[in-house]
Amino acid sequence: MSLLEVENLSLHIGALHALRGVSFSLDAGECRALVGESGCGKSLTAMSLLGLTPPGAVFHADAFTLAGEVLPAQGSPAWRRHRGADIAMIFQNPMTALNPTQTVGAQLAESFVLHRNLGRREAMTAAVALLERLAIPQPAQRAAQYPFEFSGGMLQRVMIAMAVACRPKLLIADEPTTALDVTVQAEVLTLLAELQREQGTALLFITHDLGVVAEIADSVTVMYAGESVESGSVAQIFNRTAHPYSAALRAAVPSLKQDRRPEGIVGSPPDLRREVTGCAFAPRCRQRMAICEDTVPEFQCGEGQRVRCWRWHPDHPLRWREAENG
Amino acid sequence: MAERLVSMRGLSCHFPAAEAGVKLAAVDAVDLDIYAGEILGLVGESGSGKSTLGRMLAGLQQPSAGTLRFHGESDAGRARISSVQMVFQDSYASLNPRRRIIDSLMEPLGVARVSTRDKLSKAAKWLERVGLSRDAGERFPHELSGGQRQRVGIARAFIAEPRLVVCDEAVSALDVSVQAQIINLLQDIQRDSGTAIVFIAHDLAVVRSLADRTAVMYLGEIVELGSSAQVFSRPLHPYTRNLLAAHPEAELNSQGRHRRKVAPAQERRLPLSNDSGCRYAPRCSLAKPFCLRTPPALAVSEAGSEVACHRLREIEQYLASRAAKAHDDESSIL
Ligand SMILES: Nc1ncnc2c1ncn2[C@@H]1O[C@H](COP(=O)(O)OP(=O)(O)OP(=O)(O)O)[C@@H](O)[C@H]1O
Ligand SMILES: Nc1ncnc2c1ncn2[C@@H]1O[C@H](COP(=O)(O)OP(=O)(O)OP(=O)(O)O)[C@@H](O)[C@H]1O
Ligand code: SF4
Ligand SMILES: [Mg+2]
Ligand SMILES: [Mg+2]
Repeated sequence: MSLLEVENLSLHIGALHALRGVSFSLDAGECRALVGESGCGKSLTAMSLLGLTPPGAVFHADAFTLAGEVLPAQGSPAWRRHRGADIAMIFQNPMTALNPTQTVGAQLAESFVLHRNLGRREAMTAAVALLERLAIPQPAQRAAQYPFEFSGGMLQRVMIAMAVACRPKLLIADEPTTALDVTVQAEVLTLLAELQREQGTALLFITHDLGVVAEIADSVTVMYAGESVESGSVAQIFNRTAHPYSAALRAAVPSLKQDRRPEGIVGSPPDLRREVTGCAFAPRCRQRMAICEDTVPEFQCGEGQRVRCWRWHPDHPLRWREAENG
Repeated sequence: MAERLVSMRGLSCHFPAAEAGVKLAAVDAVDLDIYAGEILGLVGESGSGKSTLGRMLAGLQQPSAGTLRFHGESDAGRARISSVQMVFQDSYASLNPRRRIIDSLMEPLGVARVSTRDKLSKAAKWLERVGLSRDAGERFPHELSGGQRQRVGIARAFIAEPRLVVCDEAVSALDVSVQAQIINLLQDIQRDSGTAIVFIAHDLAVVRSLADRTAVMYLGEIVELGSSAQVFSRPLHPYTRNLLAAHPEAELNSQGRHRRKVAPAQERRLPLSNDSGCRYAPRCSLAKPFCLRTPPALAVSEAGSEVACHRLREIEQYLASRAAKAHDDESSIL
């Protein structure tokens, strides 16, 4: 059984049907990347795993369990037991997650006091040891400095170390490296992979950078318009891309090695305040068939890969998979 | 080559540093020309001075030394207001939240000269140009998605037909499919209007696919400058080579993983006005004692690019011998 099971997650925020069927699972020690177009619901999926969906939002899921235990209702005080201890999160901008008026050392120490039951003095020693582990020179002096005195990459390394130091079962990272330059990004990813491997933490990694996915993920879930449309191992997603949206996403990635002009995806995603009939991607899909326009495709299991697309429906003929236009 | 639009000579921007008598050399003695109608990429590590250089071009930051000359303009300061525009990473911050999109779009067209009717039709034309519906013009910034707002930011920068637009991380926060739309849009606009673009970005592949020439910055200085094809396929400066090796390519190797070659995490340095020698020397695997003493100047490489490295000739020789060896290996197989 998987550590985390999410099946058919749905979320209404007023008239907006923001999440319309998100499914994935995660094993201990596995890293799953969550990718998809801006606004497709990646961050909302992450927030629901912390019990932090917007107030008044209507939540439903067929399965929503961590280590076999059903997670509490959204907004319930019972989440306090899970947050930080079982499930921790790293945000895109470390500056906003830290208190600008408190030293970095004090904030690190506080999280140790809270989650590892250390005394004040021990917690400060642990905080300094952690900075040292991150190759931050003069850790004792650094601990006495404020967040603005650290560079972006250094802060993000501190945030990751802080989240992992509490030994959560599940770590969620929402675009943790988009604000960083490539060298710092590589450093941060290396650290994340190292700590994750050491502690067997499951990692849900939200990103729009497929280069980062190739580097860090074991498995990938692609989302489109509030639903998961393809799930599989990283090799399947890269070498045997099934869903037309995943394929379009890959074609949009610019490469450093080739002089290929990246292709955009023409059109825009559907308005989720109205009901979606048929496949949500159909209006932009180059492989659309008549059935796609009026009947919703299910999230089916194929050869180890789940795909929400009529062309990949297991009952349907192989020739459907080849595009008419070659 | 095309007509020169801007010339920078010894352009610097120094800020006060923690130590007395020393300055933070955010941009330090940069010599650079921008040609009419070209797309110039600007890459380099965080804090290398890319945004500061861009802001000086747009007149948002006063240089502390050197000259910045706009050709064909008698009074550079005045002319710049209409001839240089800037697009930022976060267009939300640069749009007035209480104004409709269409009103924000008309703003750069100024008050005088043009009739409101002409302005409206021009704004509508640009909405269409960047792939937004007319209805989007009636909305307020918070009612658009991030990608849509970024397109408004671009339309707003180009609407007054400036001669130069500085795009500072203009596509970084967008997912790849929206990014690709905007890159194609920028290329089309540039081709049609001949506006020059300075394109600042962390994502090297994006810069390669868009820019004609690319300048690589390191701690306030330009260390390599050449055609994008040259800089990205045959990088010469040790920093550029290191930077390109750190790029995450969206593909898997035979082990099913992409792994970058990166040097272990290192302390970052700040560029100071009293630095001696090459600023990259402390991190450079090729540094010799003289690198720490004498700063290298930009020199022309055999391929025609410009590189600031004392060991340029040796690097070129090494690359040439490696290429010859690869060729020999190939012929011995045949
Ligand atoms: N608090 C909220 N109230 C109303 N709508 C919201 C709220 N939070 C998110 N949304 C909407 O829900 C949709 C999904 O948002 P989400 O932030 O999950 O997207 P995302 O996939 O993380 O996108 P990005 O890549 O841009 O971060 C968007 O259309 C967004 O406008
Ligand atoms: N107004 C200012 N006052 C003092 N220092 C500044 C100011 N603006 C920039 N700096 C410093 O100048 C240096 C260059 O900053 P700049 O923002 O130009 O870098 P950048 O190359 O754009 O980096 P990034 O890729 O992170 O955006 C940095 O060390 C920065 O801290
Ligand atoms: S179901 Fe049809 S429209 Fe949807 S992605 Fe598959 S082929 Fe395209
Ligand atoms: Mg998000
Ligand atoms: Mg910048």
